[in-house]
This record gives sequence, structure tokens and C-alpha cells, in this order.
Amino acid sequence: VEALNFAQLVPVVVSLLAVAISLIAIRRTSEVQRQQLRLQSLQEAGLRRELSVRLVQSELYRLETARIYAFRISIANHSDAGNSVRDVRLRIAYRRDASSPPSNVTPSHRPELAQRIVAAQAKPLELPRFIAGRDTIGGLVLFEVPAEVLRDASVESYRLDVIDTYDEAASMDIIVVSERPL
Amino acid sequence: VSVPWWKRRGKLEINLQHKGEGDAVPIASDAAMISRGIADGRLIPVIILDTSARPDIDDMIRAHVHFGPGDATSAWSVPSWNKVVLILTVIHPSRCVVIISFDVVRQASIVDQIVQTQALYIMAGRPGDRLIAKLEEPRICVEIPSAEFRPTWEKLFFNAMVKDFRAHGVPRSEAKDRVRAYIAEWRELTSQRMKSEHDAESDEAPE
Repeated sequence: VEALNFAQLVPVVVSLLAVAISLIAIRRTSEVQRQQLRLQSLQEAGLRRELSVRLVQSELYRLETARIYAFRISIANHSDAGNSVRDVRLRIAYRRDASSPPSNVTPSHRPELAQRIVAAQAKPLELPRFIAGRDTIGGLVLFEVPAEVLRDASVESYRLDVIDTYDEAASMDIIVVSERPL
Repeated sequence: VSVPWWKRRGKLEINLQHKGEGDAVPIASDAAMISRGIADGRLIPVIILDTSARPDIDDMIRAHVHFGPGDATSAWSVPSWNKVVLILTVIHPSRCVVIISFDVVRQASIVDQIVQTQALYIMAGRPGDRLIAKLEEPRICVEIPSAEFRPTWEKLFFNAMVKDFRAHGVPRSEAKDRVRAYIAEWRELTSQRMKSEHDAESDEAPE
């Protein structure tokens, strides 16, 4: 095997250098793309339409003809984009007897019920209500269920559904509802 | 006519709250009623469901009485040539899935009325209940948009009726013409409208 002379080595070295530079460039490009992707997903996460609901206080007022549920809640918008609360519904699951399938009723929030509750101090939430990006709103949500609907039934669970302008619901299960006199 | 697989539409996903919701609710009886001012004064079919195994349907109808009009979605399904299934998902004020199965031959008249009027009254009852004895009982009127289903129903209805006529001894050559005449007469009979107060006034008004 003949040893390569300098003139023969030059193109080989140049080719190797070109390959090395290309590899570095490819790596750099892929890094930049990865960073772009990361930024894009962060941006998308910021624009995700996401509301969350937090319960501050829950009360039940038992009237002769109806039950009024009052919940003091705060609703947070985790997105950078604005959103709007369209409706707040209380979902009550109940059973007539242990063997029967569960029934449910989902009354909507009625702010005018606040007039009937003297004990309620907080201001009822007026809907629809705009929430700016990264903002939180709070207020009282009130629901009336006629006594006839829940007569002879045992309530199994309560759930609050906050429905936004995109028809998506932020839900929360309510475990304790304390009974209060009017 | 069985619906060929290439004509079948996509699957419909329904969130059931309990196992029983996926079963068809038996029909105790059916009828039709006409009310001035409702559905343009047309004859609307009434179905009394046997809800002995589904007290949640009783509760759903009761909830409508107290909370007023609600929201519901509906879908038609054709699982076989002689079965048509109506899937109702009541969303508000009470969430409930009601599946009603119809025999295309035996209950064609009621399905046809639902498809034509795009509305249906639902009542809760027990086997043997009749509308005449339950006129004061609560019922809900559900809108059933059927424009998309209508062409499929026309074919099902026609072919099922032809089969039925032939089974009753009508010769093959005559069956199709007699079914066409029967359907036309049936539609004319069921498309009768009760005039609204406004219509009655405009009829009386001098020209």
C-alpha cells in the first residue's frame, strides 16, 4: 500500500471537515427546532381554555316548598386568553331506593334567589360574566330545587358545573353542604 | 333492506350513567294528540313508556314539570332491516338517556309520524296504561330532527310495507302500487293541522 502524499490528503481532509461542519449545523438546527417546539407548546398551554372552580362556602336553606342551595365560589381562568362563564349548574344525583338506578336534576344558577335568603352576605354572580386571561372572579351561586323533586329521595352527590363560552365545563364535587336557617 | 356497511354512518358515543340506560325502554302504549299552538297544530305521536325499571325517567319528566323546558339531543339508528332505534339524550334539567326501539312493520305508523312531525310526546306509565286515562299526567314534548334520517326511513317504510302486504296475500305485481297509495293516504290523514287562533281569525276576516 502506497502512502498518501500531501496533495492526495487535502481533498480527503476537506471532505471530512465539510462532513463535520454539516453535522454540527444539523445538530444546531435540530436544537433550534426543539426550542421552537417547546416555546410553541408553552404558548399553546397559555391559550388553553381552562377554567377551574373553587368552593368557599356551601349552604342549604330548606323552605316549605323548595330547597335553596347557596355556594360561594371563585372561578379562575388559567389561560392567557379571555373567557366567559355562560352558566353554572348544580347536578344533584339521588335515588328513590337502593336498588333503583340513580336519578339526577341539574338546576341552573338563579341570582334572583338571593332576595329570599337574608343570611346570604355575598353578592350573587351575574351571568354571563367575562373573565380576563389569568383572572379570577367570585360570587354566590344559587339554585332552587322544588321539594317535590327530592321528596322521598336520598341525595347521593352534588356537583357544580361551570360552563364556559366554549361549552366546556369545569366541575367540582361538593362533599359538605351545611344546613342553615333562613 | 339491511343497511350496507358502506352506507353506515359513524358510531355515536353516549355517556351512560348506569347500565340500565343502555337498554331499550319498553313501550306501554302509543297514541297521538293534536294541540293548538304546539308544533304548528300538527298531530304529534305520544309514547307511554313502561318505566317500571327506570324510575329515573319518571324523575326526568317530573323535573321538566318543575323546571320548565330543557335541552335534549336525539339520534336515529337502524340496527337491522326490521328495527329502528331512537336514542334520546336529555341534558337539562335532568340528564337521562332514553332508548326506544321500534319494529318497522308493527310500529311503522308511529315512527312515520315522528319523522314527519319531528316531535314526540313522552309519558311515563305501566303496561296497560292508555292516553285517555292519563291526560292529566305530566308529559314532555321532544323535538326530533329527522331530516337526515328521512330518506333512509322512506326506503325502510316502503320495503317493510311491501313485505307486509305480500305476507298478507297481495300479489307481487300489485304490492308496490298499493303500498304507495297506502302511504300517500296515511300521510294525508296524519298531516291534518289544527288551525291556530290567528289562522281562525284570518279565515273569518272579510276579504
